[in-house]
Amino acid sequence: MPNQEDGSAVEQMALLLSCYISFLARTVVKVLFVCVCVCVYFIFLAGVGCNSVEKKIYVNLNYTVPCVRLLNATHQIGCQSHLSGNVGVLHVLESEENLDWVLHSGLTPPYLVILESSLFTRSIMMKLKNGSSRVAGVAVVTPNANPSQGTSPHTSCPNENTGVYTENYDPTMARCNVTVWNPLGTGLSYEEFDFPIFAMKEDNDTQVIRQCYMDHNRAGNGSTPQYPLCAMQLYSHMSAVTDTATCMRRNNINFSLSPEMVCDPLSDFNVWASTRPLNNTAKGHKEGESVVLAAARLDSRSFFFDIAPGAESGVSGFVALLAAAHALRNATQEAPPPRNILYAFFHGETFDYIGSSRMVYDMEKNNFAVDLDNIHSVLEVGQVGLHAESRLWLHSDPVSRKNSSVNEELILRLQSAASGLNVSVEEPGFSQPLPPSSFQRFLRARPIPGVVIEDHRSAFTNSFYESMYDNAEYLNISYPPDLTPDEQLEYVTDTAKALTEVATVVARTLYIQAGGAESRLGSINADPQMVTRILYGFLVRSNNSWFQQLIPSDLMYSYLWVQGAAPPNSTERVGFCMRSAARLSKALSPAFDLHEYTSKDYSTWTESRWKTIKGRIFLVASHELEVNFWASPAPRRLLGGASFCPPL
Amino acid sequence: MNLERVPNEEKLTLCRKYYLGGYAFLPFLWLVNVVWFFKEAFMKPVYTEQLQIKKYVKRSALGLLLWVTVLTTWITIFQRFRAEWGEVGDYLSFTIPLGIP
Repeated sequence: MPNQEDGSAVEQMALLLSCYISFLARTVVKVLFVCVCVCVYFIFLAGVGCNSVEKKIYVNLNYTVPCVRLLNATHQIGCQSHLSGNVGVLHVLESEENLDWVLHSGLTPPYLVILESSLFTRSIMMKLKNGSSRVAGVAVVTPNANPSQGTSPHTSCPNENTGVYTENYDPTMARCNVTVWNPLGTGLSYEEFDFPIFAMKEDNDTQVIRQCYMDHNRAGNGSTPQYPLCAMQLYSHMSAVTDTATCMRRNNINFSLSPEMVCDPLSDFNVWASTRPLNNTAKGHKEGESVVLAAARLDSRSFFFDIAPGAESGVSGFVALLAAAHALRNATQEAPPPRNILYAFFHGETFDYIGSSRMVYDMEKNNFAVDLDNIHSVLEVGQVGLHAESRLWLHSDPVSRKNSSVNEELILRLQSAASGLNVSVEEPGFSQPLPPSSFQRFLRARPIPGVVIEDHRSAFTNSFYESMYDNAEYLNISYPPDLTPDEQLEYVTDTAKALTEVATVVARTLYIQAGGAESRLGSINADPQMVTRILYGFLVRSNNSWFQQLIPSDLMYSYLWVQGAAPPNSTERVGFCMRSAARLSKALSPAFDLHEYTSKDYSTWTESRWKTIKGRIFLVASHELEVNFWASPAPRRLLGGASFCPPL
Repeated sequence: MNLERVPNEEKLTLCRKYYLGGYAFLPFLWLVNVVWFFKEAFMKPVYTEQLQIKKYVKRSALGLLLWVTVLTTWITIFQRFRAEWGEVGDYLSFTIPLGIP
């Protein structure tokens, strides 16, 4: 406040003016601040709401399939990108020599390389991996037709560490010393890349990309391309790192500020069934039950995520086994053989036998309907879709074969089952280990006799093993033109006919192996209609009218097979299927869903847990004795009484 | 707070409080002590309490240096080697980065 005594009018005016100016300044600052906030808000709104600027800058890719990171006990494989995506200047690779531009001479690294599928080879990918400071990512253009040259991204010796051929079992056969099963395998699927690799279909988006490259990035006639250049950004940031132990540990850390899952174990379900029903609640060894295990594999993989057609590597085998089960439906009901037949379809076999190792583990721990001692023999159906000249090969384990006559019988039965059919079965004719198969896991536990049916004598005939090209086209499944989807479903292709023959052989062998009568063999035939429908559903289109019939529908009703009553003159109950509209609905107090444990509106009753509840009686001495026992000599009579306490 | 108008005894008490407080694992108190009382201790003309204040400021500076060294060393080692320590590194961390070791 200006002092009246020492100020002249001018000073007072000056003071007033300064006060006024400072007030104005403060107001202006406030107004400016509000203005800026409002402007930012509107800009943000415009940016988010209309997105018109974003649409003018970016073109989103519609169909892209990444390669993802997988981890195991010791390694990580697959691809990784930065958290904010990898940006690279586009470069369409013309040949392997053109890599020099990307890796050394190009002036605007990092580059994002577009590869045609013919250039997606191990040598090019390894060179890109080594020069990864200049490589931002790779996009592979997948063609509409399979390449003519076979190539497999899997390793050349699949599952070599988890089969039965270890140094202990037989060192001469370990590590594919005798036969390299997948000679075309490059091992690309098991390499680690620190840039993202995406697959794109050959469609309009890809044309746009190529056009963008031609217009902006192409170095023509010695002139270097100038900015602005066409670039691509790929996002595929993977959360897990190092190996499985690390990522499972990081899943479970309790006191982290932001706990989140970083990886999941690969898991799914095996499918199994038996011709004579087995009590699944009584686990462990079943007395008197002798089972023939018919096994096949369900899964496959490729370099990219979620593309796994596996036509020859997986589908051919399990389709043949399904058709064989279908062929046996009458014979096993009318003249059931003495042994049971257990059909088992294993999942996860590609990744070191997840499904079969789990089933063997469950059997060993008495956690499965039968035991390993219940298994009489194993018949596995492997890759059977490509059999050239209609020949099938029967592989068996040379080590356990020496001590087993059941093996010889099984092979003879297979050969007799195939007689009169269009397919011939033979043994490879030299001592060779089993190919990668689920049967190897059973052999690790017990020397069970068994045979694996394949269409290759030694190395795989499948030239696209575990590749995205192992599809219907590779199995030559072709339909005449101008058929509707339903007509295609019912059309019996040549591949289906060939697989039907295989299924018939398998079915007949299983029947005899289970102890059935030879006289019935002629009536056991697989149905080509069934085979072609299953092949269509799994390899061409799964959303077809036949599969739709088999999907469970529980919109209105639930279904239950009930025991039923025993008719008057019999002790066996007659069961029936009951369709009910009655349902269950949860009866848990809403207080627990809302986490309102002090709620006044809802019941908050809980009951304690306890460890053991029991009681007992015994004789007890006087309390004074407990205190004075060491202090004074107690009367003998009481001592005698005290030590007489009977344990109850 | 403006030390101009504070009597010297109070300055000494303040300096001592900050110096003693820093021993409770509070090196920032020592930092404040050094910065705040530096002028008082070394650049003002001599007065009775200045010797004591000088002592406290020197000792605070020493303690601060020690803390800075220890913390810098530990932070460097942790940032550099956390990935290699595996389990121990994860249990020592509050936030573990995704996707990188």
